[in-house]
Amino acid sequence: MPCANCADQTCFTGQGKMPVDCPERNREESGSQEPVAGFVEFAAQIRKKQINRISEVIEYARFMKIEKIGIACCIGLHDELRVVTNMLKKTGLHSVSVMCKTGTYEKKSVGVPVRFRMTTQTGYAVGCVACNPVAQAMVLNREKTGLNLIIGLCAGHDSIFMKYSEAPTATLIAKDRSNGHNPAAILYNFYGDNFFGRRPNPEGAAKYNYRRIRPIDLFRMVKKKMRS
Amino acid sequence: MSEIQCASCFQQLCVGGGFQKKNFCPKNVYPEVYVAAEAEYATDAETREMAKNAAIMESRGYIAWPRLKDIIEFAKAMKYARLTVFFCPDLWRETKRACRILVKNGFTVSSRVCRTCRENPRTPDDFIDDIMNTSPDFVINAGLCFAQEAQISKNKDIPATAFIARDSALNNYPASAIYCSDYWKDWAEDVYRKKFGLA
Repeated sequence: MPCANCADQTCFTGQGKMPVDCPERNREESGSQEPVAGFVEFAAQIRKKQINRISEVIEYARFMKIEKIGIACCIGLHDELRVVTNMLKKTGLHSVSVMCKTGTYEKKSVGVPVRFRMTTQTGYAVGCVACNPVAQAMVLNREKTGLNLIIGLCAGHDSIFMKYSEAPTATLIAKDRSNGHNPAAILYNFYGDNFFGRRPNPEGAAKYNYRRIRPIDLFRMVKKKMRS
Repeated sequence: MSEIQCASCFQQLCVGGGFQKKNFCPKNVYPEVYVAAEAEYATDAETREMAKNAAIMESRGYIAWPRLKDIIEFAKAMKYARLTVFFCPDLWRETKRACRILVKNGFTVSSRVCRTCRENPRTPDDFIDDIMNTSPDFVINAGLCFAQEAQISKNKDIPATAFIARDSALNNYPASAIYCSDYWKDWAEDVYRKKFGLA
C-alpha cells in the first residue's frame, strides 16, 4: 500500500526520500485540462477555511451554480434529513429527497434467504422490504438534479446508488450504526482496536463463561492454534 | 406543482407496503420508474448480487458492527480481492490504520493520496487515472473533501463506497453539526424525550 505507508509525502512537501514503489516515479507529464475552470483554487480555498461539511456543500453548490440538490436518505436518518433540508432551505438552495424504502421492493425478489429477512441476526426487527437504491437514483435523474447527496446509505447500497445516478454524487453522512454515524471513531480508541484485533471467536469465548478454565483447556487452545 | 419531498412525509407508509396519495410521493409521480428499477434488478446480475449481499450484511451486523466491518464483510461476500483506498493527506494516520485492518482480513490493498489543493496540484481527472492504474475490484473513500468527491464521482467503472466523510471543522464527524443544532434540539425535545419518557 504505497501512499498509506509513506510518512514523508514527498510528492507535495518536496522533503524526504521517495519510496521505491511510488506512483510519482514513472508518471508522464500529463497536460490534461481542468474539468472546471478554477476548481483547484477553489479546493485550496476551502481547505484553508476549515469549515464543516454542510457548509462545504453550500459553498460547492454556489461555486458550480447548482440550483437543485437531490438527497438520497436512509429511513433510519429521517430526522436528520429534516434538519439538513431546513438548513439548505435557509441558504436558498432547492432540495429534493427520496427515502431508501421507496416503492416497497421486497427482499424475497432479490434472493435474500429467509433467515435474513424479517428479524436480524442480532435480534432487531427490520421488516421484509428491501432498500431500493436503483429507484432512488432513477427518481433523482428524472428530477434533473445538479448534485446528489448521500445521507447514511449502507456499504453496498451506496455503491449501487453511485452506479446509477447521473449527477455528481458525494457522501454527506457515512452511516455507522454502532458509533452514532461516526465511522472514524473505531480508529481512535481502545475498543475499536479490540474489535478488530484481539477479539476471540464468539463461540470459543462463550464456552468458558460457565466454568473455570483448566490447564488442559489452555493446552488444547494452544495446540489448536498451532495446528491452524 | 410541488416537488418530491420524502423529508416532509411523516407516515413513511412505504416501509409497510403502501404509499402516500399526495403529489410529493415519488411512487405517485413517477410510477414507471419503479417498473424500470425492478427490470434492472432482474437483468443486471451485478446489481442484484450487490443488493442481496448488502441486505444480508445489514441483517448479520445490525447495530453490532462498525462501518469498516460492514465494508469488509460486504467485500468478502462479493469476492473482491483487490481494494484501493483513496484519502486526503490530512487523514493519513486514519487511513494507515484502516489499511492495516483491511490487510489483516486478507485483502490486497493499495492506496492513493489526493493532492488537488496542495503544491504542484493534480487535477481530479489525473486522480481518477491514478486510482484506475491500481486495477481495483472495489474502491473505498477514506475521507475526501466534498468538492473533490463530487468531481471524481463521474468515474463509474468500479463500484465505490465511502468509509469516512471528511469534516475538517468537526473531527470527521459531520453528523455532529446536526445533533448540536437548534433544529435538532427542538425536534429531540418533542420526539425522543416525550416519547420514551426521558426528562
